[in-house]
Amino acid sequence: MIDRIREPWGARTPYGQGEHWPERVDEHLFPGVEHAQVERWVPSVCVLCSHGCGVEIAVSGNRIVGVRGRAGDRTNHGRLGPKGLYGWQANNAADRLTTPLIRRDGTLQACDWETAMNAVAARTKQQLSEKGPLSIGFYTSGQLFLEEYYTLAVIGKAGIGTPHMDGNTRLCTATAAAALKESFGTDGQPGSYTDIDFADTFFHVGSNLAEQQTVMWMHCLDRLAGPNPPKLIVIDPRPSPAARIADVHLANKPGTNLALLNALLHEIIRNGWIDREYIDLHTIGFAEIERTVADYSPKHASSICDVPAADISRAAEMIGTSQRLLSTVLQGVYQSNQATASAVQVNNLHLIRGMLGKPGCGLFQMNGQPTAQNTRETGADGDLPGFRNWANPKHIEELAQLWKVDPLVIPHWSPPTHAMQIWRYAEQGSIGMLWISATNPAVSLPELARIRRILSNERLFVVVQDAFMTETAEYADVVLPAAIWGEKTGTFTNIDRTVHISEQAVSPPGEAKSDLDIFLEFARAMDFRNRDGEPLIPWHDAQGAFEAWKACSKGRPCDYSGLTYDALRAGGIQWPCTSEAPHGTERIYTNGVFNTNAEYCETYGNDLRTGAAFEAKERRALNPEGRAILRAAHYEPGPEQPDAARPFIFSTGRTLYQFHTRTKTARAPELNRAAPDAWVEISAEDAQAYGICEGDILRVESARGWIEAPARISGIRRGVVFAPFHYGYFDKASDDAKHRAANELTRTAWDPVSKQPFYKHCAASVTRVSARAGPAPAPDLTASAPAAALAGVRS
Amino acid sequence: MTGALSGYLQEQSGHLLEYTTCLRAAARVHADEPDVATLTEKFAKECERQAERVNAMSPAAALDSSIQQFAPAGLLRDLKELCVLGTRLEIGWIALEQAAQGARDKELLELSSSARTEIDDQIKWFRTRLKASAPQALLVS
Repeated sequence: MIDRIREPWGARTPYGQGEHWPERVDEHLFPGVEHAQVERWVPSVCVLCSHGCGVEIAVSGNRIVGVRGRAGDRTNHGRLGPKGLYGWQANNAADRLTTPLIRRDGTLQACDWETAMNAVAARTKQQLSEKGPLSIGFYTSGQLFLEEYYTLAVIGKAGIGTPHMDGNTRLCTATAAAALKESFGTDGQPGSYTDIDFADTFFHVGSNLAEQQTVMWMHCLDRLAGPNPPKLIVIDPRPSPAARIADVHLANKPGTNLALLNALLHEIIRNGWIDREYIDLHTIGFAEIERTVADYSPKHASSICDVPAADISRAAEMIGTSQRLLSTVLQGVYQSNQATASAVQVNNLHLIRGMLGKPGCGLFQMNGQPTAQNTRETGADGDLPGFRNWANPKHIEELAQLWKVDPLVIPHWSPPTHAMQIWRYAEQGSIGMLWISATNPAVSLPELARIRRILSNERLFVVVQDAFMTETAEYADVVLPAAIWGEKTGTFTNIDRTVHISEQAVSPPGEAKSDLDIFLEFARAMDFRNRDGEPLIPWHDAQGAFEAWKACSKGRPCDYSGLTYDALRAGGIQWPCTSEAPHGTERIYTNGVFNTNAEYCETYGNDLRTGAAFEAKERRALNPEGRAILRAAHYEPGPEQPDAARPFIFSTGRTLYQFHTRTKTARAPELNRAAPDAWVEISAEDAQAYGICEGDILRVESARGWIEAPARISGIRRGVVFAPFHYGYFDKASDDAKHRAANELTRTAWDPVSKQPFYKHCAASVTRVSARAGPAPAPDLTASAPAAALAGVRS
Repeated sequence: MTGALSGYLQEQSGHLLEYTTCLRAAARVHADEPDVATLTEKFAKECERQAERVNAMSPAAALDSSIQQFAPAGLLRDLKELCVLGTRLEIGWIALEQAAQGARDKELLELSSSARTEIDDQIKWFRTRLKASAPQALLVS
């Protein structure tokens, strides 16, 4: 059996365009466990990225003992990535939270559920009576199940009536949603994974599939290894595995994506590589983008982005002459300067080439987390359920009727408050209670010293609902122990709209409860009622929540009304699934009709430059009549530029073997050994100039904080240093361990439209602190590969 | 250029200067509201470019600088104040755009029309931000 740490994408199963992607079943059982010992295989879905691989959980003696891919699943055809193969071991970790905790005399002490829930309900009631619903905030996740999010959304929006609910999805996929809404009228991924089978060109924009969606990359790799392989174009300042084998790799300066994308569109329009008929019939605004991109010749963009003009022209020609273009966009765009404007340019590219809704023409505004799509669909983030428009009174009326509440109870004077603003209100004290579920802001938000300051303020009552004692949970007033994947049943949706059911395989440890049960218990404790005096939330289990959600989604783009748990038990189904399309829908927008009309759209749009909201009358005047909206913006430099004191651009990101803040992956020995500690990537040129050798301890410092970590001399572009954001300090004893968290350095600042924070560029200085024997603990097969190892690949 | 038009441009230049000063002050005072700080600074730069073009057209314009001091009064009131100052400018540009058409002055027409759009975008943002902030500021703070 091959070592999937050393060979993360496994063996190739090459195939040609239009053929069926061959099955390959990946499996891992705990060492020493034999097949015969597995009592049952329970169908589920992997939760360690957004791809949503079908998996079966091996159970023996009420313990998870392994996993294998489901050969018949449409997403993965049996494959699993390293995180999927090994990450489940976190379920069995000895340090799972098994009882509620409550802060007494300054320390967290075990208590029973009644005590914990009474404390939470009492504080909620106190906030409501003293300061009202706007004094309560919720910060959730991209890790819960659909049923849990929807229940939370109803509690927040109709029970308490606060606009302050968002997810950590704000940090990862807010720009995907914002860009889809701007171009197509509502959220909703247009593509299907089968587009990989048909594409003739792959275009990865700030999207490191090979490390983040490893199985999607296996899918791409198998096409690349087959006959007539697709062309591959990659935009990334680091030499990611895809960039290293790309036909064109554009390693642009961080913060300049928009100039580069504008130049690509400039070349494509100038050369006439556009579908004029599609543009005329199905879009509005072509003149605006034509005018805007006219200024961005490859030469001009080259001077901004610091990539060769000839490479820009070559990439544009490959994209422009492709017949079936598949694009993926992720954090390199979403967490960078002018995020939404840049992501929208990739939508524009597909629109002006008429490449949407057809096999091979996949557009993926990717998500990072497994259930981020559901946070957005159900309105547990800065959205309303069913992609409804907060500014459209009819949409609010629909929700009010569904929930039997007064429309005025549902906050809709503005979009639901974005996470960065929720934290600001908590900082200022107007939010006095913050309920954090399944996320670890003490490591993942920007400017961590500030986040610690906010969390430790005694006036803020902090509820943390998690499976582990995270860095964030340390600050809680009440900790609620949560069941996780494999310990509860529910559904979630991946980036090609495939809805899966994930079944409970084992019992939760100790007294841990599913997030759904916790929310339902809170609703009971608060006795939320509708206007008829009935319980606001009438459901008692996941299936009941799912049925309620089906009614809420009916008639909206993410229509689940034709789905049932039974149907899902036969395999994943892509929404919309209705009585007219009972088997789901492989691609949306196949007829070139979009969700942009004023009555149906999720937003009337925003100024890409400032984020100012357009109003209903402006959308009506635009009269889109179902056409997509082409919008463009000029490049503007990011607000924090390097200077003499801080000459480097500091960027954060991820590595293949870890997920988020390592809450799960650090507890999977194979994964943690592969990337055990933090590092800082620096180019060979900069290392030489600063007298830095591989493994030397570097201090990287921004205006907000500093970290110290060993140097990895990598193929990153000159002038940029990079650190993975995964590493907090829950597994480190000393207080100094805080200074390995990349977010000590990052800025509290965000994209004007999507409100997604900038993690990919701030100014920093680099100092060599000391020498160290041996190389940095950075993986060497990934974007952090040593420069010396890359020399051979590139020549 | 008539004396009246020149005088009006001069007045517009004074309003631009006052607005720019207030934008810069808001950027400083609200440094802990990163969106407010970043955008008011950006808007100030846009207005400076507008002022440069006005002053190039009517040199006398640069002389007027009877500026009121910006007195910070909390985010909500500051947003309102900036919105009002911006609206005064926008109306000024409308009048100038009309006069430019009458005078068949292509340069002034282009300036007043692009400047009006720019200010209009700024006002839209102040309105958006104010609408989101008002309930929290008036009910909970």
